[in-house]
Amino acid sequence: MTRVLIVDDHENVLALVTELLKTSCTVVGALQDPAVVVDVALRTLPDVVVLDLNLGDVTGLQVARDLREAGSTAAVVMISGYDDDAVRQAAMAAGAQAYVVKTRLVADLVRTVDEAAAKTADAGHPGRSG
Amino acid sequence: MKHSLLAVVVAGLVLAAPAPAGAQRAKQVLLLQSVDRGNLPLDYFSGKFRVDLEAQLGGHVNVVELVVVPPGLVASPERAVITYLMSAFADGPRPDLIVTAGGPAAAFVRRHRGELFPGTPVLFASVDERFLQDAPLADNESAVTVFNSFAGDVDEILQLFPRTSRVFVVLGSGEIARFWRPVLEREFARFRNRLTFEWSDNQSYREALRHAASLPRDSAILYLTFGSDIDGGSYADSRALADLHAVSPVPIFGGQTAYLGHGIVGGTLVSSEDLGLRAAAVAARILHGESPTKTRTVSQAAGPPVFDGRELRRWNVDKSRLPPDSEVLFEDANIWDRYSVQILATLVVVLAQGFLIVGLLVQKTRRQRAEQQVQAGYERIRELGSRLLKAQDTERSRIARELHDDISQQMATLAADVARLGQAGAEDTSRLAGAALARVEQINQSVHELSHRLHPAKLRLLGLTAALQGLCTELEQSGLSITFIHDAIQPLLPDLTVPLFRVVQEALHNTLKYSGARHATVLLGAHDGGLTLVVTDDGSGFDVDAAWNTGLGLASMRERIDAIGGALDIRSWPGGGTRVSITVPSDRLRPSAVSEAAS
Repeated sequence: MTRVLIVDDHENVLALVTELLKTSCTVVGALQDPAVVVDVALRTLPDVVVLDLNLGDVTGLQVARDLREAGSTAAVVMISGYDDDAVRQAAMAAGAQAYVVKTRLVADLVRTVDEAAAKTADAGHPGRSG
Repeated sequence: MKHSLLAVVVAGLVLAAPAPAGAQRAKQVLLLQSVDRGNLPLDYFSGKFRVDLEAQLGGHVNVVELVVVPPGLVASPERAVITYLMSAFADGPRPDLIVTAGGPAAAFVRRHRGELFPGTPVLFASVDERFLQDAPLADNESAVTVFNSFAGDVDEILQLFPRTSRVFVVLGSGEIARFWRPVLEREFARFRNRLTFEWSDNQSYREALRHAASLPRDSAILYLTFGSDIDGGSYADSRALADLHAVSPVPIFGGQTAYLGHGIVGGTLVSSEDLGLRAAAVAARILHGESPTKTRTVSQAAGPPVFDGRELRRWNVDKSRLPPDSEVLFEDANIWDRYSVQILATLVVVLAQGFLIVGLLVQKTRRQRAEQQVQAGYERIRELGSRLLKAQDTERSRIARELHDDISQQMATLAADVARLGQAGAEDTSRLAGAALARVEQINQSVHELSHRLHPAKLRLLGLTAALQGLCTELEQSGLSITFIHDAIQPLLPDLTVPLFRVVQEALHNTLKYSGARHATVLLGAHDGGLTLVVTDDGSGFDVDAAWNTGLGLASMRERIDAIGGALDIRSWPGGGTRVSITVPSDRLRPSAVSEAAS
């Protein structure tokens, strides 16, 4: 099962995403505080980090860059309320594999996480549990 | 007493000095003074005599000066003076000539002629002929005498001040006074019916001054000399005349040129310097071996009338009343000469005050200007504040309307959709759920747009360049063509990006709303570590000066740029477009933790 770390500062969204993914994935963590994301990711070695773009004082873009710099090879799926190409491109530039608009979470998230996990597996991600 | 002893000591030192070496022995002249220094006529005489005698003898003369009647002594120690003189000359060359200066010295020599080097010739100099009237001159004696016409002085007083009824005769209390008082009383007898005479010889110096100060207006002072007063105190002529001049309410007369300039009005005056010259000439002739009897001349009389112009002015004497051929001295003493110190001091004070006043005025003007600027600043802020409040209200009502008219309506529709979903049969559920989802996405879009208008999320997420790019793209939807050119700029703090973004946003909104422009350019440049943002359009332009005072647009732009330490320049040409430029110096750009995403 794909190991997933979920990060969103909004409690309801965090619960929804966890609910959507728990049948197909192993949820290794559900975090509201962006400051601990890198630590938890390095400890739990998720295959995919589902990362909210808007985390209050910090942006998901910054957290994505921090993860990459800290050596995490987890695939990042950015989720956001903004349906905007420029923001989508910025997320990709920051290291995200995919971008899902929050109104389309039910429709797209599970599939997108699976695809991101598959890509990471192809790249020989050492943290993947299979 | 001190003066006399000092004179004796000085004379002794001079006598003890070795005679100058030379082929020709210097002539020894013993100059016997009537009084110590301070008697102006005798001082003038002695100075002139010594200088001229030395000149005539080519320097081969040694003048030993001694005061025979020391001032202040009640009983003159004549015996001691003679003993001293004899012993002083005992070991050296005897005097070749004895010269006396003034009446008392002449009288002294006559009293002791038998003991004082009887073989040595004597020249009685600068002496009133009346002092020598008691005996004829001996064969080895000569005289350079003077005739002081004191009665003539009184005539001159009456000539200039015909109303004079009283004359205060100042003559001290010494030997001179004792000699002159009876002589003058005799000579002044002819004024008996016209004048009253008062005498100072029984007064102390203070009493004499008090007396002078209390003289009635129809009085005059006739000054002979002062010398010593009844208490034995000695007073120099210059001091006595100055004090009298200061306190006296009436004019002062005196028969000596030596007194001119010291406060006397003037008249026909005896010149002590002429006496000195004449005495030196006679002394030289005697020292050259001529017989003293051949050198005798008639008494010197007073010279032509001379007056002090200042005194004439002081006592309002019309010059037409002066004797013909009168000379007026100190006439040139104009206001500048007389009061130059006072005038300069006044000028300095006035100038200083002037500078002070000018300084204060300048300061006051500066303060007023500063106050006006502060006042203008306050008014600008108040005005801006009121416009801000209005704008805030307008913005709030716009948001409220948008929430109500759009989002609230869509929410109502969504509620209806969900309600119908609950009642629907299985075949309709899927369709209704799809419609509800579409509605939710629409609501999300509306909220997103509203949020974006309130604050551009992209600015925080993506940075200034991306946000400006997004803004340009967004506004092009309205039909304006916008070219965005940018350098790669360093990451900026939101403190800077928000104002910069807002100003560009405002400028482009103005272009879109008012200018009718078809094209605009946004240039974001980095240079010298600083930053430049220029927004230009090809629109109709506007009156920049007038626009500052209307609406909130330009004022808010300026406030935002001022706040970040940048400079805003807005130029517009009617029909020629508008150019808004912002520059931010490098020291205002701080490295940011929030990085530019587009890199």
